[in-house]
Amino acid sequence: MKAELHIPDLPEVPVALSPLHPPLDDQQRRTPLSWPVRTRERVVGYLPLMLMVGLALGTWLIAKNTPGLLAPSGPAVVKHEADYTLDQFDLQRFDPAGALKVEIQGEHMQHFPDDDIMEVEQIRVVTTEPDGRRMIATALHGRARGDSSEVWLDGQGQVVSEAPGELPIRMNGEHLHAFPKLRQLDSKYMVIVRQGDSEFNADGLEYDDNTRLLTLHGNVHALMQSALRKSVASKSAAQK
Amino acid sequence: ERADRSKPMSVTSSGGNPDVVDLKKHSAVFIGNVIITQGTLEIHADRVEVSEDPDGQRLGFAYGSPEHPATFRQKRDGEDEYSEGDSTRIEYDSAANRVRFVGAAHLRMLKGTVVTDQANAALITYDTATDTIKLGSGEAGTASSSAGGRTTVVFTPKAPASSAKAPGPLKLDTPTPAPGSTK
Repeated sequence: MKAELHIPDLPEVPVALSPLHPPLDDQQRRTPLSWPVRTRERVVGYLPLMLMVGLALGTWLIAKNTPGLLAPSGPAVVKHEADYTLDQFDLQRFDPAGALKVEIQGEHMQHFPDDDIMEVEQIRVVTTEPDGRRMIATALHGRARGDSSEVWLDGQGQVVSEAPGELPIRMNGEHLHAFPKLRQLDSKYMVIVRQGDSEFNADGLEYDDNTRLLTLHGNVHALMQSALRKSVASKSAAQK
Repeated sequence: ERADRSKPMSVTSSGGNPDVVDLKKHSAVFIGNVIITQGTLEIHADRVEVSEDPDGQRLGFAYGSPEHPATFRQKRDGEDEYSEGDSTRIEYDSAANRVRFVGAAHLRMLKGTVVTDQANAALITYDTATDTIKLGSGEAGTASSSAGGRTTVVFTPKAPASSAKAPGPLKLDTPTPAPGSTK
């Protein structure tokens, strides 16, 4: 069979293509192969396929028995590890008008990205309002959300609320839960609240600094200063 | 006693309901087994409201119920002498030392545990400083629930005064009939 082959950059060379194997004659085509030969032919023909299937089965078995390999992969487990720490820090947050809103200070702070929580030793949180009202929260250990919306005070927790022209309110407890931006506080543990000479002891409290309403739970013992003492005191002071 | 009014007022309560204190107005509402003590004075009630008027005077309102009235007890200036009272509402003005019993009011004077004088009325006002009581048939138009609305007072004649210090007899202030009273 003659054919022409044009390969660029090479001199033109005549090429002759001959068939790979001689064509079968009638005799060879008519006589059937023996059974073992046909079986061997078939086995040899399918051998690669069977090998691949075997390998695939084997891989599947191994993967199946490898714990956790085939399990649907859930969200990557983020470890509760600090991404940065600060010592003797002072974190300040300003409102859109530029006035200082929340200030968080402490001896040592660790920030955890997984839940955006700051853990602070010797925490001190000060919230300031344009009208001069302030709330100062302190504790041995504190945890605060990254946006300062929530603060947990543990260990000698104290919150002092000051307002111009009013007696300051001091709230003490081992576990206080403050919401600086809402100016609210609650606790499900023993608390003592003092204002002037009055004192309130209770098993739990909720306090809203906007309304100055204090809700006390459980057994309550209140010591409310008699009004007369104040007027007597002021009278004697006037006479001096 | 007269010295009670200069003592701090202590209030305890224990119950399921929360107590609410208004730290701006210096008032408070206590609910559930409430006990007010101030010096020798003691008031028990289901619910107590303590408020402070503009002059800083402390007022207490103790609420009971007909079945479980609010009760009051205080030592009088005399030796071993006490006053006791109960009614559905007790109003206590600590600075003026005045107690008002409103609704099925009973007031008893005791020498130790012996009742010497007693009064029942719809409304009793007891001035502990001057030791005088004023009896009325209740607030304007309110039906009085004590024995047919009648005011009764029982005085026990005093034994000859053994010691100079004994307080004078209880002075009865003529009651001013409340408008529309049935008496």
